Amino acid sequence: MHARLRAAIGAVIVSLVAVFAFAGCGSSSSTSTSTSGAGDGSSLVVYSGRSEEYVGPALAAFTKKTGVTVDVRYGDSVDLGLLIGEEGDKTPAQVFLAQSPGAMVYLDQSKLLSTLPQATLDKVPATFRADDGTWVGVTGRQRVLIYNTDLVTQSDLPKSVFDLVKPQYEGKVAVAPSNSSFQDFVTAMTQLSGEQKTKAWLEGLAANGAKAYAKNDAIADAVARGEIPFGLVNHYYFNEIIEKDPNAPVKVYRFPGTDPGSLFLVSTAAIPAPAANNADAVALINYMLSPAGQAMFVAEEGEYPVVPGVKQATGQPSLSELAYPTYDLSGLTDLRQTAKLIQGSGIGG
Amino acid sequence: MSTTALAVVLAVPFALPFIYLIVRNAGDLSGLWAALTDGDTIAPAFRSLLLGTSVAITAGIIGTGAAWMVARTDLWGRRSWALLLCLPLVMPSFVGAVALIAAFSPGGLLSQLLGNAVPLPSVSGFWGAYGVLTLLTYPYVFLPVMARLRTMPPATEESARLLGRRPFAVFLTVVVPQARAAIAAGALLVFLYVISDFGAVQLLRYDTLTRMIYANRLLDPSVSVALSLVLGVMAVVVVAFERRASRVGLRETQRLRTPLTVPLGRLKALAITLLGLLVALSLIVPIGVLLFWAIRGAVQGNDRSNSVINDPSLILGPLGSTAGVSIATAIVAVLVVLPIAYRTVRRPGRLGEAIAGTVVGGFALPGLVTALAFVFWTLNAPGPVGALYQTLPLLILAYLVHHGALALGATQTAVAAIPPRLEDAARSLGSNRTRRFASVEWPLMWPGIAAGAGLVLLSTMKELPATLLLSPPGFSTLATRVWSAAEVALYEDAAVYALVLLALSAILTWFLVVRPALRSWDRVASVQDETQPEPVHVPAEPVAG
Repeated sequence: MHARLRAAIGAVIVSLVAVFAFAGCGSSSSTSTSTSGAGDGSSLVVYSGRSEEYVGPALAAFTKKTGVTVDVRYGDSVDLGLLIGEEGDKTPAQVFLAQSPGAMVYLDQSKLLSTLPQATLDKVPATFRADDGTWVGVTGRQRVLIYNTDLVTQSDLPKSVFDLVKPQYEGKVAVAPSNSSFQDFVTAMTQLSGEQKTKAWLEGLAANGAKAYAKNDAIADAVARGEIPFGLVNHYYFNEIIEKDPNAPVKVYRFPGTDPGSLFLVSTAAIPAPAANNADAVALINYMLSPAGQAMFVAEEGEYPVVPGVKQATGQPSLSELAYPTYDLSGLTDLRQTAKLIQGSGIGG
Repeated sequence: MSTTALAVVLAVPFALPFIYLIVRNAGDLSGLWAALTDGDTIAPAFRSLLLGTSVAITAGIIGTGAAWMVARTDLWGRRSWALLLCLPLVMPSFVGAVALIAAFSPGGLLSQLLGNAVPLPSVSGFWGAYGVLTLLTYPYVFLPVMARLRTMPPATEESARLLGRRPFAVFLTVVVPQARAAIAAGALLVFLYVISDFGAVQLLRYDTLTRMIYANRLLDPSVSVALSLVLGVMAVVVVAFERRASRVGLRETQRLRTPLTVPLGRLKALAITLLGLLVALSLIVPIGVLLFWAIRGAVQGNDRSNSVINDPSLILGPLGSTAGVSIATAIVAVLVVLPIAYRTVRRPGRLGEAIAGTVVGGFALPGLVTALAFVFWTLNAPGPVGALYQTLPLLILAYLVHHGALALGATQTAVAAIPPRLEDAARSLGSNRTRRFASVEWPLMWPGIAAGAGLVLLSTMKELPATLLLSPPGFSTLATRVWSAAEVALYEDAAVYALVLLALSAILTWFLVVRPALRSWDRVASVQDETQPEPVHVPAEPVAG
């Protein structure tokens, strides 16, 4: 029995060694979503609600410039915001990048974000950052309606986003209800037009057979192939379609005036409280706000720069020409409430 | 510590996720009750049952029909058909779903063939999920039923035919009833696969339990935990039935004679067409779609610097992570399972059954549920347990809990195959325990253990939900790469990662599933009346999702 015991204990020890030995080499060999540093050894954990396609190149350029390795967890902005909320002090995230302000405002209210250095905040106009300095805007995007020109004529275009619940749009509109840009748009609409009207609009959309898609990309694809005539997305998804297929029968439409449908949102960056004042984290945000970083976002997908003086993408109205409604960002507090409002409307996810 | 105590201790981790779910729900009974009585949360449970039942029935019919044609008729190239028809096992459900979506996407194969004029239908929802899952799961019925049909005594069938029954009537009244247990076991595995599936229903947006659990995991954790318990109980019940059915199936294996061959006559062309269509839809078309996207992506190029098309070396990271984490899991699984196998085989009894049952229970619990239990548990626990959050050891533990049973089955068979008299002889010659293990037992057992380890390796490689939820930041496998590329509609990237994953998976499936199946085929073909065949063991792999 003693020999058997020894063999058994040996087995357990070997298995533990195997786990930890691998854990050691595994985390250093995961280069795919992490960018390899030049070798000063420091590394940064980033939670990104923006997809790798969009922020990957900027993160890689940052690593190349500074030698800081970046390990990224990609996901949905709302999900990652709620995740940091659940993780609290335990969050490994040192920088949080989100598609829109909603997740940041939520975390700020929960006291889970640190205050950014004033020099970083000053790079961005006050309208594009938190009043209390816990997050900054990184890039700007406008909510638009894209449509398939084979299926839609000019005269079919709605005057307001509220028109989309009318019978003539039955089964013709694509939305991405679980996407954080859509959720922030709904929150802002609640502020601009009241909760009753927003709720009625969402329920109207559901009753009118609006189709739910997982992501804006999927909506763009669906509109391009004529699966559905209209789609509510961020403006740069139009650029993406044209990039894939210059002859795609798709056009972009901005609701006139200060319609909630033409909301202007910023993608955002923040440093969670446990990583307060982390030099690498601050350096990453500063890099994204540098002229070089901003230029990358503009070139990649035609987002609007938030730093004054950076050149805008051609072929779209300039930031100063854009008409959009203004709303109180600090009202974007309850992620769960908006998500439940959307879920409860029956529009699906 | 005795072997018994060690086996019990090693079995504990397999029960942890389920225990956590029960404790957590017990602490929030009002939340559980609210979730169970809310129509919005119960509808997904019905959708899971609907999808599971529909796919299980269809896969049962397709799998049984194909097995009968291959095993009992005078079709040409039956051995090749047997091989081709089990190959869809290499394809994880999310890869099948990606292929379907990519085929119908703009700029995809179909829109190129038909031109932009024909609007393509949407593939999401019930029918898409139903189609993909049916085509990928019928081998779970095909394999055991084929094995059963090849070893079934032909006497009754002969009599029925001599009495003038037509082949199809013989099939329905004689063959199907005799293969009943094998069909049931296969169909139950399919059902388990479908209700556990996460990848296909999530990509094809059919709101089943797994999708609801995932969507609510942060929004409303109590709903998520309650539904996890519901799904977990469903899965465990299914596995209990499956094990009963396959035990009956093993008992049914009887003395063997060359099985009866039914001449198909003029129907031969029809049979070939049907089987050809099945292989085409489940294998050739999906791989063709992926190849189309990958090749066209490579030819056209793109301007994304982080695309695997532009920088093929990007594949190395996920490839290394996939291989590393799978190999580590396989090694750990063997080490953990070996003492359990010894205890349960050498001293069978109620306790042994309970220990083995616990390990199988870990396998029954869907990967998504196991992963979520570990996430919630480590997030809320202080100290060393909490420190495991988002680390590789925890990810490997989750893999172990989910796939350990695959290694246990093979290892138990290996342990049981050691003739006791060899050990007695070694003992009487003065060998101590370690020496006996090294010189007598290990050489006899290792092929079986290697097969078990291989099954764990194969399943871990293709695992998706646990990897998504538990992996450390910056850690990605081929599976999560396929997933994230597909989510943002970058099908050319998704296709490259998927093809590499399929290639790896195909190699392992060949050695672990197909070759043994073909060997038993050849053995049956050459065997004479006097030999007793080994029951063909169909590994209950890969209920991944």
